[in-house]
Amino acid sequence: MNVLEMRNVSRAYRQGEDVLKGLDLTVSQGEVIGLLGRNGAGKTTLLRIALGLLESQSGSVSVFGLDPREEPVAVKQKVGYVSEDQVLPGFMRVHEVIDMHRKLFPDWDEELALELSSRFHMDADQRIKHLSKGQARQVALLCAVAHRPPLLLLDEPAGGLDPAMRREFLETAIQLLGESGSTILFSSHHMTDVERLASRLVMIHEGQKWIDSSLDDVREGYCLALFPVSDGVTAQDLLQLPSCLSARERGDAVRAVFELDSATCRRQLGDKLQREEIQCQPLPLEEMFIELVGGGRS
Amino acid sequence: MIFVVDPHSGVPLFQQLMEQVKLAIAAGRLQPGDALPSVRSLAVPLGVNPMTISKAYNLLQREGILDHRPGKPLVVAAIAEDQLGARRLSQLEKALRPAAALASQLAIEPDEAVALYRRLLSATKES
Amino acid sequence: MTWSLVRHHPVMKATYVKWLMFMWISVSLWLGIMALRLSQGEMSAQWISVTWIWIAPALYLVLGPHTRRARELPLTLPIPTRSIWNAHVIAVMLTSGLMFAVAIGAVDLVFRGLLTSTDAAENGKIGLMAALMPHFWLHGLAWWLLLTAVVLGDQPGIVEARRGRLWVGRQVAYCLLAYAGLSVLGGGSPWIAIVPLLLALSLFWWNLRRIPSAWSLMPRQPLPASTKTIRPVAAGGESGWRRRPLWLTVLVATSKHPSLFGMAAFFMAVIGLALSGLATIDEGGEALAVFLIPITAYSIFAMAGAPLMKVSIFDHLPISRHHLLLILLIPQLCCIGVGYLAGEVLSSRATFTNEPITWGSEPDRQGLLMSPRFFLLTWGDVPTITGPDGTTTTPPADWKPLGTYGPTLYKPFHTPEGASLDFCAWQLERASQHIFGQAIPAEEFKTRYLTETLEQKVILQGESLSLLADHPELKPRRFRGTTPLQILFIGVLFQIAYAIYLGVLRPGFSDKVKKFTFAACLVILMAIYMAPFILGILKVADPSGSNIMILALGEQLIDTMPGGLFGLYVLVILVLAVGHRLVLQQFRRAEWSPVREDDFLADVLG
Repeated sequence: MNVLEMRNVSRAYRQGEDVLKGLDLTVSQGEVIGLLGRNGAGKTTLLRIALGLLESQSGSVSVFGLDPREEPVAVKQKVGYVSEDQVLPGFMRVHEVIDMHRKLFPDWDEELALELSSRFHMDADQRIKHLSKGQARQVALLCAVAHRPPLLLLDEPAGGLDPAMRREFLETAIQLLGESGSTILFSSHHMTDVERLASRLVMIHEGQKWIDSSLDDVREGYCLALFPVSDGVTAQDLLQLPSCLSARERGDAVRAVFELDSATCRRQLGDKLQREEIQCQPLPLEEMFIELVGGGRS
Repeated sequence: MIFVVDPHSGVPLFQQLMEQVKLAIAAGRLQPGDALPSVRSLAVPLGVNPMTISKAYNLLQREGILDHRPGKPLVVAAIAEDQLGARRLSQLEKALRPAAALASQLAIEPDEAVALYRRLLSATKES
Repeated sequence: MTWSLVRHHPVMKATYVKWLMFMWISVSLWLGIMALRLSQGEMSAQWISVTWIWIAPALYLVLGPHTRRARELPLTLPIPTRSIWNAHVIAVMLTSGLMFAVAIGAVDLVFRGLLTSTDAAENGKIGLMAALMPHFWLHGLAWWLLLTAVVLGDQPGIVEARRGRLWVGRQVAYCLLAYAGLSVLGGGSPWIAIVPLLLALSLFWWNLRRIPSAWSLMPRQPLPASTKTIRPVAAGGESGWRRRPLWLTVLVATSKHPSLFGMAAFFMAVIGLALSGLATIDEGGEALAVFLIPITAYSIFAMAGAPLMKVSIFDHLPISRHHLLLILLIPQLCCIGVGYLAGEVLSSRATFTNEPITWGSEPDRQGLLMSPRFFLLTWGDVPTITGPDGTTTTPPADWKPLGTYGPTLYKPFHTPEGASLDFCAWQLERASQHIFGQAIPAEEFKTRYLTETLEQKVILQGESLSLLADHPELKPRRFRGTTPLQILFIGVLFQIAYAIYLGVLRPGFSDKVKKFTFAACLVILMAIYMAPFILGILKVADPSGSNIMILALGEQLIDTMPGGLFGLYVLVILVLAVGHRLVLQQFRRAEWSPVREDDFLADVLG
């Protein structure tokens, strides 16, 4: 049974403004999926539909074989959720928040909760509104993770946090992966975190899936070709080529992303453009993101 | 044996790990029979998905560089002397290839390049 | 510039609406009590009325949102501090002034309306304000200005005044002092008002002088060092009183301030108390109880609807929607119930001194007179009564708001002019049976209380009909049917409003529609509550008629339904159970929008 199955999921907040259009997504146990996309592309909507907080306006959603709208409690007991814009009640104290979660989740692991709370140096009596952004997020992470959920949904969990805090979050997620074999679906803008954690990448653009493959395939499957402007090759020329995903001029170079590995790309471009020494290199994730959604064709 | 990964480089992380293991073996830091750290113990300190480490280890196993005994941790496989020599050379070749390309771009004569390399080797040996 | 700052001041935008609502409800609650007392010819202590008019706006002034003088944006722009301060003062005065005006205006208007429609007007009593304090407007204005000046002058140098315990103490002191001033000096000559007025003006001027050249976000002096140490999270959770049940957590977290939740609980208990009729206990009190039905539904709706603004905090947790709905409903219903029970207990111990049956001899008030709450209800025309001696009479219709075929209240024990002694005694016996549950025999009336004059006119032997005094074992009966009908109408009103509002919390509706629907439901419920008053002011119908109709309906239902009182309760429970299912269905399908910091409605309803 798949952990998550979304078929033909659509959602619009306003008439004619589709946030998600006919999206399919299947997640198997143990996968770690990095959700990429620009702000407002639909990542948050997708995660909320998975948890049943929003209703999909078409198609079906199933989490561990259950419909999150029909059986919300059963689904939510198996899911840990952390979101950047999650609001914990300001007047509650840390121990009250943890206590509430402890009672709601039958699979709560007290040892893990204690380990995390001492690692994060939590003050049990502190009110949430007096915590810094990072500390409040740590509380949220503890509560989401301490019941060892089989599925972890993270919506930019480290958004706005300093690098040390981000690393702590990453390590906590990895710990959960290693110890409990959880499945993780997370969205993030920090590409280094995505590179470290994700086994599969899904990129959402204009409401649809643009990329859905393993991280390694993405790496090997895309490359960046660079041409000095003085060479006379224009972005338009490159966009005509079949495997070109995007091409644009930046400064004094034309940068184009091809859906080929570096060696093949070099060869093909060399043939097509009658040139030697074509500069093709593997593409770090961040560059790929910028090239694809910064100047691509749909 | 300390591993480092660089998510910025564009090289897949599992590949980076594999290269580091191979380099360590070639340099003698890892001897045949040495056990490698478990996936779990590496994942959190390195900050990588355990599956990446598993993939690296599996591929190294397939290449025959690591050995797996059931119920025991992965160990470095035994290597014949000549094989070890060949491995060392192949590591060096990897490092030298970009230098050769650069020399060609700069239109430096092979003899000049080799002489430069010799000077660097002696300097390194002395320090 | 200043005017633009005023327009966008946070105080103007939303919060005053919340206080206006709170104040309107509290004024209205007491209006009901006052109205009844007034219509009986009594006037409660004038200071209760003044206090109540003063309390809500004063609370707003001292506890309200005026401590934040400026938002972040104006602070970062090159706007003079003086403009910001002036805008703040104007905004606060506008909103608190509005509140005072509404309070005074509401009370005065309604009382004026009520008084002209009851006997009290004929007794020479005039408008409430004029009766209470001839120059209340002037004194009230002066003291309100003074209070505003003092409150605004607290910690003028910083952008947000610090609200600690000392601050609360100071605020309460300001409020009490101003109230004392108004009470003591307010009844006198208008010239006395000059004193607080002058004080207010000088304080305003002094505040203006004290504002700094630049606002600070924090005071210059650091706070004393913190002595707290970190307490690590305890294994297995906290013990004893620190263990909070889930429902309490949800309710406190979804209210704007944890103390608001406590206040709300108290308020609901007071509503319950009033609902039980305790307030006018010596009149039986049930009429008031019926009158308060719409306002109770309003309060339950507001209490169950406001948290929906913030309930999305809990959306991702495994709490079933049904559980959540019960959390929103049951605690407040319990508070009402506790108040109600207390009222019932206290009422059952009450002694009654007012005679429910009297005998009148004036030309327009003659014969058997009884308290209207014992009238009977019928539909259409009033039935003709035939006595054992052959006298027939058709009692006049006392309340007939919907014309010929609508509900009619009438006094079934009407004794027309010229009726015989036998007939009158017979009617009196029937009346005593109806009111006391036990008949005083007609013979006793003929011998002890009534006599016939030479012109065959029936008059009293003594001063009055002292039935209660002479028969200490008799008590006017309690209306048992009121409680189930109260529950029914409150429940149905609430369920309809709530289901409508929940129906709008769906993907297809914009935020504007959601806010509008909520406000509309509140307004409609309030309108239903005010309808009897309005009708009374317009002289269309007696405001108490609708209440008595329900009382009578309750009793008649018990008499006619199979199973009597029990049967009535079963019917009520069945109806509400069906309603609950519908509400739950809507609740399950609702989508909660995520909490946004500046949410207007969250501000409005806390």
